[in-house]
Amino acid sequence: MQCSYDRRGNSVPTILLLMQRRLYEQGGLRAEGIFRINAENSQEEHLREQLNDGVVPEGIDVHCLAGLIKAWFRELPTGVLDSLSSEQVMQCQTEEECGRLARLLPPTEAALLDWAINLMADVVQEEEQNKMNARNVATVFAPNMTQMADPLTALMYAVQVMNFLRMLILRTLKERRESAVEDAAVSGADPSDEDGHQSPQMHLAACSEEATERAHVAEEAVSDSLPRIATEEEEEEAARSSHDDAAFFSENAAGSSTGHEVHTKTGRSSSQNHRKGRKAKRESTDRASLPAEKLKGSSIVSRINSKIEGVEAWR
Amino acid sequence: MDSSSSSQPEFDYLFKLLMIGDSGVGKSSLLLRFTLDSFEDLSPTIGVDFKVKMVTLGGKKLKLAIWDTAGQERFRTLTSSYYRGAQGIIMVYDVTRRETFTNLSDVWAREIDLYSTNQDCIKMLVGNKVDKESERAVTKKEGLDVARGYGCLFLECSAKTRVNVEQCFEELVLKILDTPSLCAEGSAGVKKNIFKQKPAQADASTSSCC
Repeated sequence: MQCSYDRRGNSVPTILLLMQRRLYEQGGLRAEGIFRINAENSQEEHLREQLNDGVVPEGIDVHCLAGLIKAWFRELPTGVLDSLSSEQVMQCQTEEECGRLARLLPPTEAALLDWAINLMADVVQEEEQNKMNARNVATVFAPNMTQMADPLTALMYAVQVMNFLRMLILRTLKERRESAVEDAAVSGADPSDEDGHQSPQMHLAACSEEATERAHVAEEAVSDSLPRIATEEEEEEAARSSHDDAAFFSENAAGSSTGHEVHTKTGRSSSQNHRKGRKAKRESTDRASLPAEKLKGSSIVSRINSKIEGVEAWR
Repeated sequence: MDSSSSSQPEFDYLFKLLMIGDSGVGKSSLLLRFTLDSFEDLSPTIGVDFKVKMVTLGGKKLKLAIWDTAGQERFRTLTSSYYRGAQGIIMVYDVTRRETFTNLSDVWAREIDLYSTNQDCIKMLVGNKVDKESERAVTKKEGLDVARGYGCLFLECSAKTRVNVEQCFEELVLKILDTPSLCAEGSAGVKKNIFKQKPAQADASTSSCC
């Protein structure tokens, strides 16, 4: 399975980022009951097939996209939070405690959780429109984050997990508000200026995209970090790479026994991509630029390159 | 213990009702309107919720135990265990969202076939949110046709404006009262003396069926 970096430097499966991007582009964040409402069953099955064939079709119902994001978590061989004991989760009463516990997760699960929490926080920021507050969105995600054989235990645990997620969402929203204040104070150079010389087309795409978004840290960053298709070459690559994502649901289902393996179990090109991603991440710290050939393979990486600085700045 | 047998029973029948349907169609809102006559923005249900309401219908005192299930997909495996022994099942859809209607046939009707243990169990199709008439996506006739196809009762209602809410539960319960096998299950005596009743029931079935 191919992974890409999100705006916070989390390595998550590209298919999740693709679905997230579509969801946001189609105004899913403002749709009433997003992530709560079920899509039409037959449409969801159809979309699954298309995604498994490497196609992300246009004009999908936003509830269908949201439903499949939840389904992706639900159908992992093990739940993202399964490495934490229920006692640990139950004992977390404050946002800080929950944050500390989340850091105990293995890297893959931690990245997935962080991505998911930020997605949920994006939803909650549009609460006035979508009527999904932190509790509501945490409630509908919670049962998908753990797997339990016994339904009754699962039910009781879902309440604890809901609280855990809710705390993390609220904590993230608080951090965003604080960093928004800081950003306003130091609003100066656009961090993406730095890599402008490497790929002007992509940079332009990113800028125009940003311009249409509200000047909000969270929103701007999300669309920016997602794979952007700007040149023909990249378009080709995107088509190929999304093909690598093919059968992501069936892969999960057939899958390996741990979430970590799912993550590392990749096709040839995706592992390359992954290495590039790592490299880019390292390079970004000393602000080195990537050679053009490397960019061809992974439009995402360069975006991350510029973004990581941004992320670190407001972290 | 001895006194309980001599005192007036609290109710004549206890019926178990179940509410199913997609997330966000208003199952919990219908239940809240019916049991407490109120309406508010509700959070998604976690797993199952349970409410009891006493009503008097057809001269009988009835205790209704109403199980409200979560529409979230993950909970389906869990909620399926609550189908067992229900005398009535309310299938709810949202008249403004067509997919909630089609999913009843695609998903929920199948669940009933799989998990409901009660052959005679009364089913009722309910289209909620008729207060949003301008956004209607499913006509009343379509609802009626599907209900006819499944051989179940049908009503359109609004938990928000309370239109037809009580009628939903009443019609369902009256139909249950009309069905002797379901009444027998729900009868207070059966529940109390479940062990003593068993042989008696066996006798009754042999005599009545042949």
